[in-house]
Amino acid sequence: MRMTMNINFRHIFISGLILIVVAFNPAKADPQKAVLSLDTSSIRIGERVQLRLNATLPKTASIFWPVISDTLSGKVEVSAKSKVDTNATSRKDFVTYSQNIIITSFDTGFHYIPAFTIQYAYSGDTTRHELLSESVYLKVRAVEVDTTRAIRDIRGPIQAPLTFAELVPYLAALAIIALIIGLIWYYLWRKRMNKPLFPVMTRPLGPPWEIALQNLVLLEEKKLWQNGKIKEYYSELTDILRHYLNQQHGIEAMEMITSEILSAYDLAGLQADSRHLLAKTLEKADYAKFAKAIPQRSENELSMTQARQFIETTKPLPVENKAETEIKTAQSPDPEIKA
Amino acid sequence: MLENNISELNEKIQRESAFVDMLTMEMHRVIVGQKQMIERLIIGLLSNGHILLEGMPGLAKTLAIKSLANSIDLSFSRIQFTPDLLPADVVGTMIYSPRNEEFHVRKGPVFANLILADEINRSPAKVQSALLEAMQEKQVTIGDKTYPLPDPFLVLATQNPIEQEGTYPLPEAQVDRFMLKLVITYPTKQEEKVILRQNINNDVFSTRKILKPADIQRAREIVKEVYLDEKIENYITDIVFASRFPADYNLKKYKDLIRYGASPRASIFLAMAAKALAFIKRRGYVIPEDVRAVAHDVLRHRIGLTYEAEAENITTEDIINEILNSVEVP
Repeated sequence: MRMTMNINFRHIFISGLILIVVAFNPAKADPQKAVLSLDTSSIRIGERVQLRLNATLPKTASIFWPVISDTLSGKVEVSAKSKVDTNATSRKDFVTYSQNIIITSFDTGFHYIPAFTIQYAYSGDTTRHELLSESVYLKVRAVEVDTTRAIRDIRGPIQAPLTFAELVPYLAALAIIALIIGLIWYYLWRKRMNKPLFPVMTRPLGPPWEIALQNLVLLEEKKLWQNGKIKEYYSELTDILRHYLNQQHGIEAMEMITSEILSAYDLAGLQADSRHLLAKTLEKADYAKFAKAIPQRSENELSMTQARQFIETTKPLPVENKAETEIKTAQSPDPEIKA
Repeated sequence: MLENNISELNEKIQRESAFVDMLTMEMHRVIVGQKQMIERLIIGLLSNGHILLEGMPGLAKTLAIKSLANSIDLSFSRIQFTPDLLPADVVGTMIYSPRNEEFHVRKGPVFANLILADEINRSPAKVQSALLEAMQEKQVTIGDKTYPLPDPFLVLATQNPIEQEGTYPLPEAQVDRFMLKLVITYPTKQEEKVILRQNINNDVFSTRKILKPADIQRAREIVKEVYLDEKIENYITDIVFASRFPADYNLKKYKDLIRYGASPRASIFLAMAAKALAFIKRRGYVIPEDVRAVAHDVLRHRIGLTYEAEAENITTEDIINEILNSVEVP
């Protein structure tokens, strides 16, 4: 009896051991499986949730992954989906395929997400095997409204930052307005200054004495006094002299009376010998201009000659000639030339 | 060769203006220095323009006017303006005579050829107005009758500088009626020494009557004939316009400094004073020198300055100088 009990116990022990080894031997366990899981099983209406489909299959098998359409069920919509990705497993001959699907729903209640079927076939075998995942439920709940509080905006409108492209039309308009104002101002300024709208580029004129002599020639050609325009003749003659004094010697003669011009001439330290030429011309001109004097023909000619002489004798000496004269004078053996 | 009428005028002026030297010499017997003031007083006399004299006390303002009146056989009255003076004290009033039981007119001191309105800015505006109206109208109404003032009628008013206490500055419109405003300055050191000696030694002379009103009347008629060319007219108007619109004459910086420019009276008086000066200089025509010589005296009381100008210590003299230096001489 005792012997029978020992045999039975031994059988039970061996059988149990075999069962444990078989049950817990990972090499022998079949790892093929499909898992469908949600990040969370309860969302607010319109909220998004990630649905993950994983399938562990032999590496050599051909996989026929289920096509995910825009909706999973009538009320669960697919917002986005990732590509099917592969991950290694602890067993080298198996690999895990996974795809993430972003889903949402706009209907409250419990929504059934059906199981996915993944088909696969071993190489060299045309038989298709199927692996079925579990199905899951998604609870979609409504937003709780606190009816005791006033209705308000969830969030105020957000001001989008201005971009340069948006500013370009305004900047262009401002630039055009500024240009128009600038042109109007320029036009009015030129008009006020009695100048032409566009400055005329003229050839640079010669030195003031040369211009004055040229103007005297032009005045002679006008034959003013010969035609009885005595006042005009003397006005132009004195203006030529006064401009010459202003531009050549810096005497602001245009705004000076005769006595002031002569005083300024003395102060400027110009040739004293020529002073009487200027004084006579200006005084004669004053008579003609302001006292209706009618000088004789010889006096008119004399005034022109005196004006010309005055310019010739008071014009600056050319620098080269002056230097040459000084050298010649210094080198001359003739004592008279030196003196 | 001058045109016949100008030559004749020149000769006439040579003859008729001889009294100017005599008058000047006579004035200089009494007044030491102040040559310009005496010349301007004669200008006023010749061009029938009233004169305002401004200067510190003791600068012979009153003496100069008294001497001028003495030199010419003209009636003269002096009105000392005080704060309690009334218009009737100047122009006269109606006085009731209980004996005749009727009103008699008592003419005021304004009924004289030469009036010396001494310290005119010491009286309130109503008294100043009474005199200034008489100056303008050359007549005075007392009661319901109008009395003409004698001819020549010339007011020479003295004024203490406005900065002094107890003065009532003359309004711009009233000041404008004076042809010239003279600013009397201190005598030179040499002149001061002569004044000192004269007064210590009691060598103070008084002027003699060397002229008659008819001489002045005749001279005034000749002064009117002095030739004023259109170029000079343009020069005068340019000067006056430059005081009104300085920006148009390259004087933009004075635009904000001038409150108001010279009135049309300035143009008239500039021309008249320049003619009188030409007469004094024995010329029958006006030259730009004459205009320039009187420009300060004619314009200085006719240009109003802004607060900005006062803050920058810019005076009317500065502005007139700039105008004369900017306006082109014909």
